[in-house]
Amino acid sequence: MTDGARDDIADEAPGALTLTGWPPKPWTKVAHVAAAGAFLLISLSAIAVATGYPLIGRTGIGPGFFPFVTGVVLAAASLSWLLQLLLGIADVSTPLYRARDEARRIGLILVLIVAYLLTLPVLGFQIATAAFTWLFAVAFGGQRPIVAVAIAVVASVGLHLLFVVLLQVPLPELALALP
Amino acid sequence: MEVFQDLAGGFATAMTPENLFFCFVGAVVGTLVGVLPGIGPTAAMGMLLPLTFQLPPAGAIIMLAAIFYGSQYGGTITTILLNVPGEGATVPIQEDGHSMARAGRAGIALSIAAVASFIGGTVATIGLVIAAGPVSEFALKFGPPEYAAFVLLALALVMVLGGSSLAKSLLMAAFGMLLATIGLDPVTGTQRFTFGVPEVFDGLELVPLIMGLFGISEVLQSLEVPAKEYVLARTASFVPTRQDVREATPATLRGTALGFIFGLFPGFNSTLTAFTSYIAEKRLSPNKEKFGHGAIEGLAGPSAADNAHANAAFIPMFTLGIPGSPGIAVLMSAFIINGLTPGPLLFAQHSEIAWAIIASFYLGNVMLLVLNLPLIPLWVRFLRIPFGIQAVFILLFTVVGAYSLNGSMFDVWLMLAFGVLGYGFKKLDLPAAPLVLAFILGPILEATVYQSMGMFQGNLLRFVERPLVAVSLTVLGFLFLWSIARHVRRAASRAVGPEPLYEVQMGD
Repeated sequence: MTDGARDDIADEAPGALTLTGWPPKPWTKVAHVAAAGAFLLISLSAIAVATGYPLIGRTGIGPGFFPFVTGVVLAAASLSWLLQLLLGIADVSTPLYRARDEARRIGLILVLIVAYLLTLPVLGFQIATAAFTWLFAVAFGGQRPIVAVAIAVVASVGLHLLFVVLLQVPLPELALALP
Repeated sequence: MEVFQDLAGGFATAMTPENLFFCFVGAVVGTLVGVLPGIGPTAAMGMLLPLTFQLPPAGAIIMLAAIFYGSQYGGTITTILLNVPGEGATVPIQEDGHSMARAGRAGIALSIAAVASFIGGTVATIGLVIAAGPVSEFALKFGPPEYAAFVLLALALVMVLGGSSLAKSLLMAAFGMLLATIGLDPVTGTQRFTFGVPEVFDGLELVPLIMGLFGISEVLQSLEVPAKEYVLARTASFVPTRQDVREATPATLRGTALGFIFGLFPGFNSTLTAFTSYIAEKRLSPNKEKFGHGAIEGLAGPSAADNAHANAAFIPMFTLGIPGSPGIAVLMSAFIINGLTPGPLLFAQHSEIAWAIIASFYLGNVMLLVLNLPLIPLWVRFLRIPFGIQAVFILLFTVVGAYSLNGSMFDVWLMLAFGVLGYGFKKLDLPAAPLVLAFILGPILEATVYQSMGMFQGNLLRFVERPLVAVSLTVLGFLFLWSIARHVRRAASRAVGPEPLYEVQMGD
């Protein structure tokens, strides 16, 4: 695509980027640098582990060859991104979030999802799903608690009927022994 | 004409009540996926993939393929009626389509988009029918070195065209390839990067990776802000005027040709194709001022291009076994799961199923054309459901989909991990498509390089003695040089002036 075409798109694209946002610009840059650094670390670790496998085999390449070469390419790309960031060439003008509340909301959603996955093998699909759906519908779906109960029942029972009864897909069952 | 006999046989298989039902379900789910903003066709196919394990191979693939091209139709409905693009590829028609809707011509805009999509999809399928046989036969002459070179070229195209930064695209492709090396080495059986975790001895599963990167991450991004109320435009007549048809016809044909050509090459995704069509139409039009205010050409061209692209993108997968986008990659894994290997041998070994799937594309496109307009009120009703509720159901479907792979929570956690990673990638403008394609193509590349090295007795230089490999590697070199030059030029212009606010990103 030509630069002219990109400019056309820029002119016609809906929703121009906001200049304010969260976190402040220096911290946005820190996030990008940290990501590039993490990739560099992963690549160096991969190279170190790959050298533990034979690099050369009977036909010329061994099981370590591909991971080694891939690790080197990953290291080069990470380093290139990191240098572009540190030299101010890479663009970090777009804030990660429009407002701090967005980040908080996503953090809470992730906590809820993790809690759901942790309880799933213990409480079984139906109970854990009903609880998760109710909380999600109230906290993030804007539903009244009583309406959320109906949604939770539909989700839990409906999906159980669809998957377990109709499609015969096994789902996690209650692990606790009932008295 | 052998090809028409094969196609007739394919129709006979595709038109059994069972396969028609799977095609219909795929078309309906695909339209719904296109309508709903929180989930794309790649994630939807990934979610439903484990549930198709019990279906017959042809039925499973017919359904998944219909989801893929059906989503292109659905995306236009919300774009025109609600000013909410269901898919990235429908962003270019947003202003013209919704302007027509505001002017009381929503029905006509929907008809034009649907018919243009139908023409694009059908013509591209005719192209697939014509190209499949000869390209497959030609591809049978390729050896491992040629395949290795083509895979590298496909990855290079995705990297060069797939994002705003070559370094980031390369990084993501290398990361995807590194993830693909986890598990047993295919040749010697050496365990690589398994660290004693038995669940990864056979490598990472594609489905949790796809559902995480394209499903969970998309839902998280959509959940950042509380859902807003949609304002629905009213539909009146669906019948366009003669003037509308006169304006739409050449744009549809141009969009079809452009979408078909772009669909043949990995890296040219549907969003890029639709935008290019829109810009081409604007440049060719004598009435440029109409664009953005209800230009028929700006609606018909990208709609046709989008669907022609979706159907033409099957050609490299059917004939060479090389997927050009993450969506096609999911479909390719459905082939493999069902014991079918996409590529030149597909038509020789499983001709009946291959032609049945191709025939189903025609049937699916007809179903979508017939279904879409009368069912618009139903699709819109789905959008009335608050996104918080839609999201919880999407999350539950992804959890069930991942769990049903092996009946294990490991895949669910893996999916969540990739979901969080994918969300982070979006925030950092790291394109996910090169990662997924490298993850799929990595093992093919490794196997073909290994076989080639065996053929060449370890001499790397003998690769370039093969003409097709030499040509592919030269093109690859030029691609990288062109891309580097483009990035340097852009960095220089950024230093002296404002930068573009919007980049076309590789979506699903």
